[in-house]
Amino acid sequence: MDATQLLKGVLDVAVLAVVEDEDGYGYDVVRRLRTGGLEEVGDASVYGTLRRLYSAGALTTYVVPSEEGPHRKYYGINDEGRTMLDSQRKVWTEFSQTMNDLLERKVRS
Amino acid sequence: MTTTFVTADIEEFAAQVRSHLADLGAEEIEELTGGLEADLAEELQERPAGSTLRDPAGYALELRTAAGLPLKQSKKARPFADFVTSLRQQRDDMAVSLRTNRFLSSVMDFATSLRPSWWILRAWVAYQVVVAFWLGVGGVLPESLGGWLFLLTSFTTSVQWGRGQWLRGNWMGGLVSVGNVAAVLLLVPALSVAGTFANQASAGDFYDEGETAVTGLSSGGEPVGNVFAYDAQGNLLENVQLFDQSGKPLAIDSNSFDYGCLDKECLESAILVPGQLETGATTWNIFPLQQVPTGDAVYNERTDRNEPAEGVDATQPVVPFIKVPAVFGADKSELAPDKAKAKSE
Repeated sequence: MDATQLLKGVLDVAVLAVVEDEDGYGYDVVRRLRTGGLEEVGDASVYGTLRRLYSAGALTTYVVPSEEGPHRKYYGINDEGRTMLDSQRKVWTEFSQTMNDLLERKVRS
Repeated sequence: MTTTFVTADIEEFAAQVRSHLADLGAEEIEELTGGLEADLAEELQERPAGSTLRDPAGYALELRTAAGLPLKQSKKARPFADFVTSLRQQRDDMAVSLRTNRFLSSVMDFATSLRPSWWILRAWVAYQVVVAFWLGVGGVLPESLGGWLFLLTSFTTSVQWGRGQWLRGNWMGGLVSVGNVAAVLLLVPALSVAGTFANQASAGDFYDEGETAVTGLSSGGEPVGNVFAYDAQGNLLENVQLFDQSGKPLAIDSNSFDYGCLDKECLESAILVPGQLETGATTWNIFPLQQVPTGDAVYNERTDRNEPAEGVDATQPVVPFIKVPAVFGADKSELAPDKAKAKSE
């Protein structure tokens, strides 16, 4: 199974979790996700997810000027984003536990 | 300023990305691509020197899939496929919704176990559509070898499709889905038509739409116009009252059959006349029913039927047999004189 396929459904919660730790701009979030183990995550996916979460009201944004290049648009989580993250974290925990139990039982049997 | 880093290439790339998302709503496109140019500029700045933008179609696809949106449909119009996909999506969504309820989930399990029955039923509906709606013949089950072959073929195909066999390509799966909807819609009409054919078969070939079924005495599906009873010695009896096992008079259907013949060839017709009891009541279960020539009958508006004109006496009808063989073992000494007063012609 391709991990990229699995990632589609959980990218929102992954991005929220990364931004919860510390505000970050687009490519910074890409790097942190890859460093965190999601090595195959695409740039477009992350940028698109950040824009969607911002439109959904889960993130705040502010621009930080840069002397070398374009201004960086930083994203930070807000209360609505935290509520969303808590909810999705719970769903993921239960789901992953169920899958683990299921798969381990298959292995044993 | 940010805009100084948004080159013409970036703008062109962003425009192409948006064009690949054009099938989505304006709000969705804005959600996915709002600020895209600035993000692309930032991305290029962060990536290793010399990096270029990838193909816009792939970028758009990644945006789309990350958001869980459907893949772009082919430009070729596929209304049928879209309709089928929509039906399947609604079915799946409903199933997921119902599964959250334990009771409904059990009901779904039960319904699932009935699927083979549905495969048989839809095959029968298809058979009815062809033989009854199209060919205009039918019945609940076929009456010819060809009909049975068609029905069995229909059964086999339906069951194989139900098992996921004999389906080549998505279009056939879609066809089955549409067929299922059609079978549900046509189930009641098919049952109705099959029932009508069955009733016609039981009522006999004379039955035509618009006529009412025989309600009085009938023989072989045809109405009985008169009854002739003979005693043990084979002599014709007169004024015989007939009743069934529950005491109900065995009468002819006088509404649809109240005429007789004055001669064996029926060159001259007559109307039948009901018998009369000592109470004064008239009844149609006293046989043989007498008759009067049609020319001696007048129409009575009150009873809505032809009746003997005043002063005209009814006579016995033409009898089929003046005498019939005696019943085996009947006492010959009790041989009664010939009581038959009926005319022999």
